[in-house]
Amino acid sequence: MEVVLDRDAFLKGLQMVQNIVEPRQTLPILANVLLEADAETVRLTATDLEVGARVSVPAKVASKGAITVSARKLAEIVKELPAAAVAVKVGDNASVSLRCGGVIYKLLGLPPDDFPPVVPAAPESWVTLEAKTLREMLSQTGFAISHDETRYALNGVLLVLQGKEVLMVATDGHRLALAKRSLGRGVGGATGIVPRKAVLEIMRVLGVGEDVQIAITQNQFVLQMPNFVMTARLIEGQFPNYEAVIPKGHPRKMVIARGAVTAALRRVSVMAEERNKPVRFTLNPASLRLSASSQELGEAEEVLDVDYAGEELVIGFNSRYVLDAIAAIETEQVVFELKDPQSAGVIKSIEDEGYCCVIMPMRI
Amino acid sequence: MAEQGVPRRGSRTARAIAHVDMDAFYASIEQRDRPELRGKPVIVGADPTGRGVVSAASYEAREYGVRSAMPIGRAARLCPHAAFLPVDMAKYRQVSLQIMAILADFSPLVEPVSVDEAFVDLTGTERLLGSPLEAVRQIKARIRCETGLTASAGLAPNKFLAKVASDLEKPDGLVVVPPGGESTFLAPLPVERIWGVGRVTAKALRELGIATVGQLQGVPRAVLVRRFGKHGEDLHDLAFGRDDRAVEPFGVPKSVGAEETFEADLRDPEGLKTTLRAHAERVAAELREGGFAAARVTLKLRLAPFETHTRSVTGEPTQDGLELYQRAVLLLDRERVTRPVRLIGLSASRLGPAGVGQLDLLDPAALRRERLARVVDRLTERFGEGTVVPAALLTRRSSRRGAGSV
Repeated sequence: MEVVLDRDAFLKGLQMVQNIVEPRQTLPILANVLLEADAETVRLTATDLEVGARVSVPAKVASKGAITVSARKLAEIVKELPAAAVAVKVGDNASVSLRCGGVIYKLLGLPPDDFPPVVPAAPESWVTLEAKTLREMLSQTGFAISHDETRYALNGVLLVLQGKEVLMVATDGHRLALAKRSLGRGVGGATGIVPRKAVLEIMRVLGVGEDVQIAITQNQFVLQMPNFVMTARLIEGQFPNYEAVIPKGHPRKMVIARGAVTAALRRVSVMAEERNKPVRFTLNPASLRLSASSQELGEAEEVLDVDYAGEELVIGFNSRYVLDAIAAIETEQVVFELKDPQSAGVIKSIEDEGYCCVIMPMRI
Repeated sequence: MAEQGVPRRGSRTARAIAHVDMDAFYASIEQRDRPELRGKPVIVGADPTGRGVVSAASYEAREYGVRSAMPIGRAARLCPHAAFLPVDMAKYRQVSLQIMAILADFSPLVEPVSVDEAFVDLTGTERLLGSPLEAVRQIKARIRCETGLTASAGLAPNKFLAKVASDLEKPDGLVVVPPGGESTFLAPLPVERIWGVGRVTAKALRELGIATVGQLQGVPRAVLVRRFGKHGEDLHDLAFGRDDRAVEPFGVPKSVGAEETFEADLRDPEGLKTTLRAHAERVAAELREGGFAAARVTLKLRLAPFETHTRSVTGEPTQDGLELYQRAVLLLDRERVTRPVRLIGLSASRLGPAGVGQLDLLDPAALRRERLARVVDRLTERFGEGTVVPAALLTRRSSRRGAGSV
């Protein structure tokens, strides 16, 4: 294999796949990126056996072929190179020479035959989304993905393609975030839990302009964009029945300005205990009092004007959860729907129906 | 002392810390209660024809090389004529409470380490009790008089030294380390006496030519830090007998656990799970009794012949038996056990206060189970263990003694 690539395009390509490589691997070759040259491109592939990504970079190909080299080192090298042509040539015993300007690197690679294949499934149908929509939905749900290794079915985002809707749900057992968008046309029916790593990687590589296509097959999630494909093995296991968890028709509704409640929560929660950051919400007609206290440090409280007409209610929440929920909303006014101190509250936008976050209270 | 560090918490005035450690506790209680056993080797633990371990051995049995935690079969071979007795945890707990109550008369700062040992902070009690040494003598005398048992004690300026001292002249010992005498006291002792020096560290130290604490005192701090990292700092401090940890009366225990050695190796996964469920309920009850919730669950498996594996998982703090059980099962399933199992245990660690905190969104039964557990705990308190058990455990023999705190 002998190719010449443009340094900037090479670097951009590497950066799109290099994060897939785990810092520690079960197999040495998983530390490497696969380079495959054909006609006019070099394809870069990385995988950790769960999530795989491949990107095509334009290149002048003198001779076709393939090789694998350390993904981290290659990215580190290319990052330091000047913006010029980079010549890559495979020698004997899987050695690779890389030249750019006056610098020469000799890298010890591994033969491509041992590299685990990344095979995107061929789904029956794709769902096309604007990159912006996909990013929005992922950021409205991704924060609620569980880190609890005992509940692995929660370590990802549930993706549901159904009727004319795309729906995403994530929950960590304390809160649940849901994003929903309708599409112009039917998308068939498919469901799968996309692992956290894939979610984070998609958000990292997603541009703003282009359209992306996604699909769910039997055991795989696939995403493709021009010159790029990502696959992820779906998480096996039963995702909780999210519909049963979302309360309907809570009697107490409070409407509040997003910016005001965010700023106040941040101020008050400074005095809250560090682990769960509990803040007490005391609702009275037209007012909301936020308060927090710590036995060692002291306390804080702040009163806000709100649109609320019900009876007094005192309820505690982890303020981080509330801040996360509100941060995913773009409209100026947010709605809290509440029932009693033991029942989950719902936070959503006053207008947009495409998002809600359900948060279980704390005993404080 | 030549070494002078930054001023430490509690170092302004010399403290007087006692470590009181009962001598061969379980075995001594049995000898006390059964005069025919006095002066004879007594081994408390599992059935000697079975495959459990020794929980305690009397001094007479120790002469034959019997030690706690040794497989009971080996103990039976070493000392076949010993009296083998089952563990009667309820009785030992009773005596333990009696002893802790005696200690509480001497200081408000009593930190139980386990059923048979505790730290007592005697700093500043002189005007009430006389010198700390006099107080320790009184403690030993009262324990002997009120329980008929002997204790060994160490009196020192901190917990580490007190603990080392109490162990030096067992049984019925009393060793004092005076303030300023820390380094001299430790110098002749082997490095294994230092907290945190196990087989691995001891071996690494031996490779550096260090066998005694005195030799360790001669190694510059920087050298130890380079070789052992953060642990090197502790080694250096402890070699000079520096330890500023306070005696914490309401000390949160490190872990709560239950385990059982089977009479016959178990192959049946359902049987293993039933045992785990019983362990989980027992551990959960103990957590609730102490008001704790545990974030970490550890599964312990001993495969035939004597190979022990432990696996842990960390999640939301819980004191719910079913939740503990499910986490342990997750670990068990991951292990894909193909060989017969000799022992299975479950322990809960990373304990914190329970009761405050986050309610669960996905497990609507959690609140109900919590209320149920409170009722079951009350019934158990009134009518004894096993009064109410999950239906899954009904087929199991009434829960064995022999499992207990670890």
